[in-house]
Amino acid sequence: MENIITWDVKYSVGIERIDLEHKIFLDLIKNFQKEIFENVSDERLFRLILEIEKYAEFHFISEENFMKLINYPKLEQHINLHFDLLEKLNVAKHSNVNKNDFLNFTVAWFVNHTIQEDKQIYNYCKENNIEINFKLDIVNE
Amino acid sequence: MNNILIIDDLEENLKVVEGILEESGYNTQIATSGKEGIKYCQNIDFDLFLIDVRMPELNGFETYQLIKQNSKNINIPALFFVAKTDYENIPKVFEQGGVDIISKPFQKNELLARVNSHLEIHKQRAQLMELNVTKDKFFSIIAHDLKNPFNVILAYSKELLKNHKKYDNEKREQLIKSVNNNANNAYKLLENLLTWSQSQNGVIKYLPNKIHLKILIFEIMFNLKEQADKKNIQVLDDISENELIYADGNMTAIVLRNLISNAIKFTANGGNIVISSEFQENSNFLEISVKDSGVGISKNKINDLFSIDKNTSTKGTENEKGTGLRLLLCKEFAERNGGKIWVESEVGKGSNFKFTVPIKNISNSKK
Repeated sequence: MENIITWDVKYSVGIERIDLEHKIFLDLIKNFQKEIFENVSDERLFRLILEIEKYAEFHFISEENFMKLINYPKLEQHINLHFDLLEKLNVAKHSNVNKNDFLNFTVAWFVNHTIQEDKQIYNYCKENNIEINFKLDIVNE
Repeated sequence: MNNILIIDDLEENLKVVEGILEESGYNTQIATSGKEGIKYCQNIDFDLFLIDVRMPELNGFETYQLIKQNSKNINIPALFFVAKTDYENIPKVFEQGGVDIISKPFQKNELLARVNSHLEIHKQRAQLMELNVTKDKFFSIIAHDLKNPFNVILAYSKELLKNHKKYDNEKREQLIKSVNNNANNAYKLLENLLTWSQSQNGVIKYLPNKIHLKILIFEIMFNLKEQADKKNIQVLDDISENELIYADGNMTAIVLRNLISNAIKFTANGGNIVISSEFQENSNFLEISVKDSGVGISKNKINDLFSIDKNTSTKGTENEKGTGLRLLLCKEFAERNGGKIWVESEVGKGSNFKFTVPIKNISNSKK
């Protein structure tokens, strides 16, 4: 089984906490791929999709909280992108009988959103000399 | 079957929701914008709306407010699609009159359960409103129409008690006749009122049988003959000898008795009434018609005749009083027999009340 996606420095948005959450998200996707490969039950795959769904919600709120903290000017636009992503996730999970299609959707979803949108948050901080202090203590303990 | 309108700018989502609902036996209509949705609402009666909150141009809330401008849609439940993390709009759904949210992403069974619950609540709400209208009608009949004949009976009988010795025979007979007439009227009304209330309470059982139509009409006419003779009205029975129907005899008799009695009431002295029947082709129904040469009914009144919250009584050609209850009873029992009732009428030329009854055992009639 070839890994569908692995964390790479090119995915780093430069904000520690957000990168960490993205890593966990990729881990959930990788695990989903592994279990499809192992032919687990539909019920199990349904539970894993739920986990991805729930984590996406959690992660979006994290990102939005950070954007609010730094008065990110494109906050509203970015929040709307999150809503769009959730709508697309909904369509993907209901229309893809083939779970590999759902998997490919989540990967494309992650790559496009991170590279195109999340990196702009970092760029805004740099351009405006905003100190980025958004991390979880647990990582450094 | 329930009609559901789904409005969402995301076509893929429309397809997903449409698929889930159609699979469960719902009729759906999809619209890709608020404007398109509003257009459908003008021509189609829906039982439930599913509207996406975030849409370009008209958003979900604006769309719903415009849909509600048409009074027929005011009580139709609206559920809104909201992104799961859209915490600003979730409470707004309820402020805007929405009954529930469907979050995106949703679970299939959750969507179906919410749609089902709100359709059920909507149905029960409509039933409650109807029961309330029935109750109001009932009280209004008791308060006005039943009170009037008693007022006359009480006043005239008191007068007779006090002064009967003073009156000559002619005057006495006139007063006794008045008392008797009013007692008769009150009794007929009471009888209809009881029948109607029993049918509303579900006490009256539907017991279909093979019925010989000609004999049934003969029995009904036996009791109505006096009423017709008083106004020199000729009632012609044009039913063929062997016409058989399959229906509840009491219910059919109530429909016929009330229609004929109404025809007599609204036909002037010397007029005529024709009762006839015709087999409806390609169906299992016989169409029975009670046609009079009476005053007729204006177009704007026709629509309200069979509606409990709008129907009113009209006085007959000799000032005969009514309550509007008769036609409600006719509709109730024509429908419980599995048939329909309607009227064709022209002011000045007369009315033709028609209803259908099954000619053999059909299973779709209300039990």
